[in-house]
Amino acid sequence: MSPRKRKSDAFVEAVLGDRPLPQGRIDDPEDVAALRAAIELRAGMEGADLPDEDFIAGLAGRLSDARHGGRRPAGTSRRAFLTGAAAAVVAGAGGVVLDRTVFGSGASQPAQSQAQLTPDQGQWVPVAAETDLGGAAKQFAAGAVVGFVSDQSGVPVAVSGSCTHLGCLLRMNAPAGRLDCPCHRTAFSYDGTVISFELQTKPPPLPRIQARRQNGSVEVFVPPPA
Amino acid sequence: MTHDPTEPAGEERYANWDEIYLDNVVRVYRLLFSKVGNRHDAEDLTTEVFMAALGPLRVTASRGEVRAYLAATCRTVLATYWRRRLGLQVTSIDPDLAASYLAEPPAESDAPARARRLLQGLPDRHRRILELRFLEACSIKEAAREMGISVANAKVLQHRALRMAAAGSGAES
Repeated sequence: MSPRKRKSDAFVEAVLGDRPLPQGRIDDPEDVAALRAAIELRAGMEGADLPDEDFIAGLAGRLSDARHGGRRPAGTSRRAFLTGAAAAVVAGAGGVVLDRTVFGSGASQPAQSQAQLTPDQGQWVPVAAETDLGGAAKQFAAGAVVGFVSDQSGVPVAVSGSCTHLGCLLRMNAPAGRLDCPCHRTAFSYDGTVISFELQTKPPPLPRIQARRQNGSVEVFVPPPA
Repeated sequence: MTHDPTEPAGEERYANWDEIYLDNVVRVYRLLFSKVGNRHDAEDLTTEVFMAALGPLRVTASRGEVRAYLAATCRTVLATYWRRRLGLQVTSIDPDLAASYLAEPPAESDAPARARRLLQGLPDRHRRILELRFLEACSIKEAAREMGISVANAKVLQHRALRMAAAGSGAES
């Protein structure tokens, strides 16, 4: 019953903040029971368990893509299949971004799902010619922002170039069509989806950076140079 | 998605995969949310359930079979989630509970009632801090102000109250 800060409080705080539960260990049965109680209490909050409409629509698109586009080659693991399907996801999301920062009503924390980096003050900076975006992604550095831009079903998509695990700079692996983290062998698709990882917990997808076509160029919206 | 509640037990079939999805996604999500308590993990697990069902689940299966399959998938997906996340299963899905969430029409969620049961019997201040934090989504600051105590005291109170509530809910297994 010690009121001192316990490690397990992090799990309860995650529930309170509507954040994914962190990876970890709980040994004390009392802590396990407390977490279970926290989950039950939060589940009892009015409207807490109503899913986000964007999520419902997004998953419908992913499933549809997986059924129609993602033929499942024999011998592919479920995970490979799954992530392959996920890579096709955002195609249906239209021009810009899955802005998942608006996150229901009561709870205030944005999800761990794909975030969007939108500077308060920013400018559109050309980083590639439209013609550069053939099959592969193109790396860019615009001010302090390093990222990759690619063409996803005709829509320019830019993602941050830092791994969401520890911030290592990603490398383009064009032959494999993905972005590799040299630190812990995490791989992301060009649209930021996690393809594979060897960490205990799946890292979040790469944040999106707003991108657009303009006069034959692809531009990203980034903070102005300091 | 409107079905006659009197329709016979799940003999009817779905027209296509989209219908399977639309008819069940909210049920699956709510079931999983009640076991993880946060939106992000509930979304991830819901995604996993449907992605996993995509291959093996045939559209020609009856509604009842589809729901039974989804319920079973929810159970295994949740178990795997806990094993990976914490190395032990904090919550699990009782088959009856899964059936009630996936039933036609879905049973009224028992989550609010379960939350109330947890709070029953707690001293007033302990109950109040948990209500403010969990059911009314107040920040610790807001909760402290509401109760006229310091933030530090609110934290301690919350910590103790949650353990007290958990200890009182011996029925939960």
